[in-house]
Amino acid sequence: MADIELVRDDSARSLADNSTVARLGVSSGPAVPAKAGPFQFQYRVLKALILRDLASRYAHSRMGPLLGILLPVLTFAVLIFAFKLRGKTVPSEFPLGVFIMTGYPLWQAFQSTYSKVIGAANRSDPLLMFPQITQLDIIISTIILDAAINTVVYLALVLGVVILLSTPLPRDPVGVLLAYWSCAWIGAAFGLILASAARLFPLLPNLVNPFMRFGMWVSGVVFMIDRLPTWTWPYLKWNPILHAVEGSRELWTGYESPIFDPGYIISLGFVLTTTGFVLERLTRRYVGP
Amino acid sequence: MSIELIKVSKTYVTLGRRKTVFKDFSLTIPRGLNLGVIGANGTGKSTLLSMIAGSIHPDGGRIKRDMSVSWPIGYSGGVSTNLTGVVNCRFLARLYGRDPEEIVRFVTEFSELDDYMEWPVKTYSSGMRSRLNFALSMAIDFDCTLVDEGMGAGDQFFRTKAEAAIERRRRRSSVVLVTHNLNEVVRLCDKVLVLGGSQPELSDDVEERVNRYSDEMSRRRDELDA
Repeated sequence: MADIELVRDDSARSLADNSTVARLGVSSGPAVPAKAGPFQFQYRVLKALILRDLASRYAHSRMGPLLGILLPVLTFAVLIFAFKLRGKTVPSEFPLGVFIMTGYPLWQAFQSTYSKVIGAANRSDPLLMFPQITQLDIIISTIILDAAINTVVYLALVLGVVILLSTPLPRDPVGVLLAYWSCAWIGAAFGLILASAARLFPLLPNLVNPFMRFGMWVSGVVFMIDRLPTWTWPYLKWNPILHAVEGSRELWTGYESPIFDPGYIISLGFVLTTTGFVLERLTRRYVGP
Repeated sequence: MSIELIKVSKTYVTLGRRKTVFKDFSLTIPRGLNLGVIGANGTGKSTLLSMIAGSIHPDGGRIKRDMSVSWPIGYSGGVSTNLTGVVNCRFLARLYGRDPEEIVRFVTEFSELDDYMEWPVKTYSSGMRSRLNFALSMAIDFDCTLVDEGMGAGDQFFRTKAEAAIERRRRRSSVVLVTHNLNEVVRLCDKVLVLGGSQPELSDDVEERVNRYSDEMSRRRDELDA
């Protein structure tokens, strides 16, 4: 015998009478708008996610945006100090400010975008409960916001180095910026591949992380390729970040890099991005809120 | 206008063990139908709701939707506790292409949170959070509203208000209600779907089927007690 008494009463129905509803202050919400086109819809979702992420990042303190600039500045102050102490790997004719600005920030753009993409894909995001938000939206919005913030910080650092260290202005500023963005692009594409594969093999990013730490030392952050023996070049040339770093140096000063190949960066970027999108699509069904 | 699940299958793999919650399951929810979904824990009620919403993809089969579907009401995950009630409202408004201030006004009025709307949600009591979640869920009208145990929010007065709001939705559109409260199913639903057997069972006679389900549950509990 059931011990739950089932009563079909109409109390809720009577509550919904217009007079009752008016008394309780229950009004109907605004109706769902007419269906937007796919691009307008995507724009709307990304804009909402970016503004929410921006508010979340800087909600804790009014100092947040300022710290976002100050912390990289401090990092670079330490780097400049360290290179001044042990500047043997930098050719004497090459400005130290340019050497630093065309090295570590580019690696950082790659590494931070990669980490952010892995982070965005790893967490079982509650936002996925909204039907129109996919994990790819969360990843793309993270990439856009991160690229925008990093670019502002990079430009501020370039300006600082030019003013404080009497560093010459870039000969090709747009080219230097493109080299910087190409590192973020490679990081995002590489992150998308790994994040998608990690839906099936969750430990994969942990296996790759040690190689990422090693990666900085073979990306031209602490050396210039023409200072290394030529037999090392074929082994190092596979690294797209090294190409971007060398390219950035060439575009800033006119130094002739022996390995810089923009075609390599672009074609590898496209291959990685396409692979990432295909893998993401194939593994999407393993994602849930 | 309807939502159609066509031969949908869904299997979870946890710690190497497979659990199939749906296999070749088909269901049509026309606009205007109010469907109750009942079943023991782990039988796939929330999975069904998430698949209807589109936030979980089935392993096989298709889901056709030609009406707008809400996220499951009662689910608080989309609300960021670091942000204020107002910022959360604005996010929802942008997501659905609505005027942010219109949504803020509606949610403030419905939830009666007033000045607290400017405070981070993490400072709210659980009752206040429930009110915010429910008000956000009611801020946008959908052709089909999904409710996942979401009607027990807040104090008695707010619960009455929430029920009235759901009732309005029920009259104008479809409601899919997942609940353990069998009285709610009898009172609000036109059909009931019982999960947990070899196949999900859809019944038109809500009262009879809910009574039978209740008896089955009682019998099972008696067996466990014995």
